[in-house]
Amino acid sequence: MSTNQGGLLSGALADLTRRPVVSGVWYNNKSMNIDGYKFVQCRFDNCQLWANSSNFEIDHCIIDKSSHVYFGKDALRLVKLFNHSFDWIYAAAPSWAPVRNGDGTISILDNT
Amino acid sequence: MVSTSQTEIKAAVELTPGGSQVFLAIVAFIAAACLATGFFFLWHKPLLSVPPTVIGCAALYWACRGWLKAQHNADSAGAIPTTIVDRSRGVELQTDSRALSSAEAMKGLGNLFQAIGFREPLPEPDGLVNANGTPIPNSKNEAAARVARANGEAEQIIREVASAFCSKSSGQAQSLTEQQVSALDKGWKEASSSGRGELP
Repeated sequence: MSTNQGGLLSGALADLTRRPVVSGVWYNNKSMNIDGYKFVQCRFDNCQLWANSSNFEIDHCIIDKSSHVYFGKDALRLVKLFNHSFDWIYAAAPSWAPVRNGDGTISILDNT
Repeated sequence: MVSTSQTEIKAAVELTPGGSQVFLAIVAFIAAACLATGFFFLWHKPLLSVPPTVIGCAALYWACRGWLKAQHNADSAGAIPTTIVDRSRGVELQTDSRALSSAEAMKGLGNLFQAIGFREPLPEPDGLVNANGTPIPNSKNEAAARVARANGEAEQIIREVASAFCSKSSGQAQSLTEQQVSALDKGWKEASSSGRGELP
């Protein structure tokens, strides 16, 4: 496919991958999946926010300290990779860290 | 006695170029004409053979280069569509096989799967907030309307995807679209009535 045809297809796909926008909304004590949406000036109090991918946007929102963010398997792999160099996290929060093998290597696998 | 046998061979060969191949065919014809002219003069007047030979060689070079660039895509036209399936999310897409050679298009398809695969309906909100982030009293209805619009748009995107990528096979296009839409719609509706929402 020529570069131009690839660009045309990408343009069409960009419209299909658009994110519905939610603005100025308050969620209190709710559990929700934030994938696929754009939140603008929203507020989340005591909520459970689930993120399975990087397909979301948060623009000038408030997530209060009583809310918790949970990561799906795909997103958690990136978190583990980010944390691999912090020695303290392996003991303090092992679910956020890669698996440390006996030979000093680390593993981030599908089933870990 | 003389035995005669006649063998008739018929071959239907279609040499009609299509689309951008027409330009390549013209350039190739010009190259052949120039080279033929150059070779003619090579015998009778060698000095006059240089210009047409040079032009013919240059045209032949560009014709070959253009053909090499276009060959893959031209030969792939009309190929069996490529089907990409994610049964866990009830998503099936069909695309031209030439899309596989475009990294940009494949990335877009990956983003599309991700976008429609993980998205779930948003729960009912509790109200609106002002510019300072402070909840506005008695604003639940308007907040619900905003969220309903977003959920509606998300559902519309599913229908657009099903419509854009439905199978073109004869006699099945319409029913396949309905099957895809109803499968995706069913998944969407099940997600909206599942456990997520109000915390105990």
